[in-house]
Amino acid sequence: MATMGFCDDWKSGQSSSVAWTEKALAAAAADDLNCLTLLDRQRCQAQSQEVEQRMAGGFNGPLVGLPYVAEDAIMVKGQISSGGSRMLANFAPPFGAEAIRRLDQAGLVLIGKANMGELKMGGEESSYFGPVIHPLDAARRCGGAAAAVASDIVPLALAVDSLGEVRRQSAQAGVVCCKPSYGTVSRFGVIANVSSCEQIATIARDVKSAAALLSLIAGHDPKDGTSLPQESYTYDLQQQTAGKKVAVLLDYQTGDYDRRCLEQGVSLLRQAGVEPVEVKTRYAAYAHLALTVIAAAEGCNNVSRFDGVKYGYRAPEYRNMEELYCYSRSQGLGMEVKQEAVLGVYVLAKEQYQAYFQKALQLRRLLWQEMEALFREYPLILTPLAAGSPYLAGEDRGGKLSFRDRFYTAIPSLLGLPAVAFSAGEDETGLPLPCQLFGAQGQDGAVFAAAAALGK
Amino acid sequence: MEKEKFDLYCRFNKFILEGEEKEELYSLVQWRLQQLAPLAELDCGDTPPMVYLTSLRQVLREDTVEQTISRQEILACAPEEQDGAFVTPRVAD
Amino acid sequence: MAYEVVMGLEVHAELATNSKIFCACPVGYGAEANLNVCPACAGMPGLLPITNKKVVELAIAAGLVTNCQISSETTFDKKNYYYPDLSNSYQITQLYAPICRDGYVDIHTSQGDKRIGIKQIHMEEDAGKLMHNDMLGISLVDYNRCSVPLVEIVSKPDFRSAEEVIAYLEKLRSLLRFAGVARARFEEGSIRCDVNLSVREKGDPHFGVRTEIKNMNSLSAIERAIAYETERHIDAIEWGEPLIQETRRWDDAKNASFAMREKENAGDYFYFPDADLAPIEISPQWIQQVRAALPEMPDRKQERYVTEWGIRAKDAALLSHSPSLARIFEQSADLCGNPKEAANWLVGEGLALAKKHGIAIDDMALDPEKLAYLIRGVEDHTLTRANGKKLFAAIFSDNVDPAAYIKEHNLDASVDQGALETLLAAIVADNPKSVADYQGGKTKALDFLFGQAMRQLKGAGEPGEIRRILEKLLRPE
Ligand SMILES: [Zn+2]
Repeated sequence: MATMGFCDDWKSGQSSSVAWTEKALAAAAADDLNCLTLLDRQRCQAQSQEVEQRMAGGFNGPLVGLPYVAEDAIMVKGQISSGGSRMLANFAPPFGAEAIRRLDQAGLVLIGKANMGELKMGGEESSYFGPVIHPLDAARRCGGAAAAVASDIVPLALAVDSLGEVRRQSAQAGVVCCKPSYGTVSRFGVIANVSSCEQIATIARDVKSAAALLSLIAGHDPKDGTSLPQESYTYDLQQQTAGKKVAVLLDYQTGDYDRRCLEQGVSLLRQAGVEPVEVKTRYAAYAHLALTVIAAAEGCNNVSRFDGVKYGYRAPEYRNMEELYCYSRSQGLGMEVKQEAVLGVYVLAKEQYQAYFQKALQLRRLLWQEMEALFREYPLILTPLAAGSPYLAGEDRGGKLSFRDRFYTAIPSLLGLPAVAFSAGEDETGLPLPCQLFGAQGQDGAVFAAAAALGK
Repeated sequence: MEKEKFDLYCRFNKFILEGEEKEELYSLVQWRLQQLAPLAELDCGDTPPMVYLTSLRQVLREDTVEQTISRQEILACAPEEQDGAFVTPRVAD
Repeated sequence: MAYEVVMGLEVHAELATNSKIFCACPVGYGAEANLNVCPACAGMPGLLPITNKKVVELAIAAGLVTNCQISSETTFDKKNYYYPDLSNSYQITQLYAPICRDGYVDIHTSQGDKRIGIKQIHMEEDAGKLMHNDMLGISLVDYNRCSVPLVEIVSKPDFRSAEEVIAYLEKLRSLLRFAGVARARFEEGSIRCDVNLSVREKGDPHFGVRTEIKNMNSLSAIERAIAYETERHIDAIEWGEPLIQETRRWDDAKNASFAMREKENAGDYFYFPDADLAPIEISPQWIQQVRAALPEMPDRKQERYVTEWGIRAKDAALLSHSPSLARIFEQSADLCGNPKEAANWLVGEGLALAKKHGIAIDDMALDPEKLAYLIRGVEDHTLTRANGKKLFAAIFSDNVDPAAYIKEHNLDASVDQGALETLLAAIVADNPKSVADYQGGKTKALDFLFGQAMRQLKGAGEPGEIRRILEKLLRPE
């Protein structure tokens, strides 16, 4: 019956929350990948003991007692929640994220916070706490949440899927990432970047565990005005995938790497009894550009509240208000956040609004219409997730590579669609070849089930 | 983006940059704008913009007061505090 | 050269809600710094705005009383700028789809009636407050007012004189207060006004250079600022000096306007739609509900006072001006059944006393039941008009109980009819000369006897009645 459980490989025979938590703490302490920005021994030990007591009283559930990490953009009450930024490196908010509250209630144990690109705006090199080393190749980079699961520190992680980098990083680290439809998971207590489309996603070794974790945090929250009214979610991963039509977007065959990813993905589909159909779209190739414009505008606006007045970083020296603002923001925010902020002002300024911001919103609708039509025929879409292997150390400085790969991750982000990212195979060096499946809004279960049917 | 505009948009963002750092940021933004050119040149006709990803409407709350977090907790995060207020240098009118 | 001043107004009014527009913090005037604050209005990350339904309803009401079209769908936008009183470094407001458009307000001035156009009304959040300490060289930031709901009512450039501006502001205040939309008090900043002003030669179809004057906190300051700014424009035109389009701050102490420091964003606020706030649909049914819940507006009241109750037009205008005064008037009129008398007392005595004591008409607190008691007393002669005035003043300033006051001060004019007749008969008997004079045709003699009676009665008794009895006694058998 072991195969019927959740995260069984990780549990490796142990069956108590205290033991799991100690295992995770030991692994975290030995972490040499820079996965975590914060380890809260006291909180998680107390939590695991409390969970044990609840379990002794009959409390149970698929993931009860398991440890997890949350990306540092997901705030925890009284705990430093930096979002990977110097600006918030001393910020312990007086309230926490709804997702964390739900997992507390569900009896999961929060080990600590995962390292991330600065404020979700920066790429692999942008964290104030230094880059995350790839779990499969020490010369390369990864995201903290994906690396924490891939290096078996924890079996589960929460991360904010803002521009899709979390999906790419997870698949390239050989783990699975489930991103829900927009409005499924409350964004309350999440340091915002692209407000109009980002969602918390879940990371695990397999779709079953990631989907189970997602169902624990999903559901209506009155504190989030974009939260859909549905009270709770369960994902039926047994539903039929074989016989469904899957569109393979030709727009994403641009080079050797993405072609090989697709080939692997297609062969997995065939094995699962699904016939992929190649489709060329009109607007897919613009999705990452529209997403970049919207992300710059919304991101710029979301980081404008970091001004050195109310909390967070304040420059040590200033002679007047203007200097307090300028030095605090210039010193507290990194290069890639500044880049997004300047770009954000550019696309919103009266002179450029029509050509950039308005255009991005129009493109969003055109793409939405095109995808709606496509989904009527093909309920699932397969794409690769990167143009090349995980970035070498230093390679993504300035965020050019993470911008390049946004090309692959953009559609589910821009349109708020459910997606699942996974490794479709390996390259000659043993590194995963990343792919994703996505479907129409609300079809989260069907999308996750399809990945499960591929053996993920 | 002209240098002048770049300077203006940095200033609006309250960024003061000098030397190399400034040049690096300028070239990064320029590069990004080049990448965005195909979108800027695309003709989307009079397609209405799409701002909201859900069909939610009327997300409203009743006019009731609720306070769960105290002033002390909020001010505890402040870099400088006096008499229950946040402190800044004297702001010009 | 004849000049014409052209003005448009932007009026901000704080909406009368319990809680803020996007968070559940209380709205209050004069609380200790940052007591009415939560992480959302203190600008922390991770918070999402949820619109207060009452705000939408009050904004609809503001639109209805100013004859606006109410939008069927309305949305919010973000306006970006840095200032320490703006905790999020952006303000949520409405640019692309404001809640109300195309209305008007009718005003009356010495030049006659005029209709002032309303361009739009939008909802937005207020900013906090700064308290400066020049000695320490610091400013203290208080976010209590941050996210307090406002409507901004934007007029068309229809004003041609300060008198029109004042008449409009008075009218608008009264409409908002009657509708329960806003407290609208200049002295507490719950209503604020910016004036856009330009001057042109009379007959010129083009507008002159426009300046915007901010920071005026009373009607009289607005009047002075308009006079000053108009003069400044005319001077510049006559001397051929260039005027620049700018925002100016009114300094009431110096009686002058000053250019405000140029914002470095060159007038661009990088507006964009707020995707966290779903669009609000406003159905005709919802508008109807709001309309049905609106109380009677001042214009209608004024008309009704004149036509139904026969009140003088001038008095009706005064009584219908303020919601609290109108309420006192209507309730006391109902209670005593004599609207004309209620109007006379309130206009004659009430407004005079308010003026004497420096009390705003809105703050007049008079118990309608006590006023009605007073009016009934005068009517049935148990209280003379002169003593009524004393009682009125006591009710006005000390809210005394009328029955107890009358007793304590011996103001009861009711005298036993038999006793009165006996007393008057005695006076007649004591003054045979006057009786003879009267009967001889010198009717003036009656006045002497009446005076004697009044002196002995010390205010008691009803003068008409006394005269009637005296006449009866003097009539020859
Ligand atoms: Zn608040």
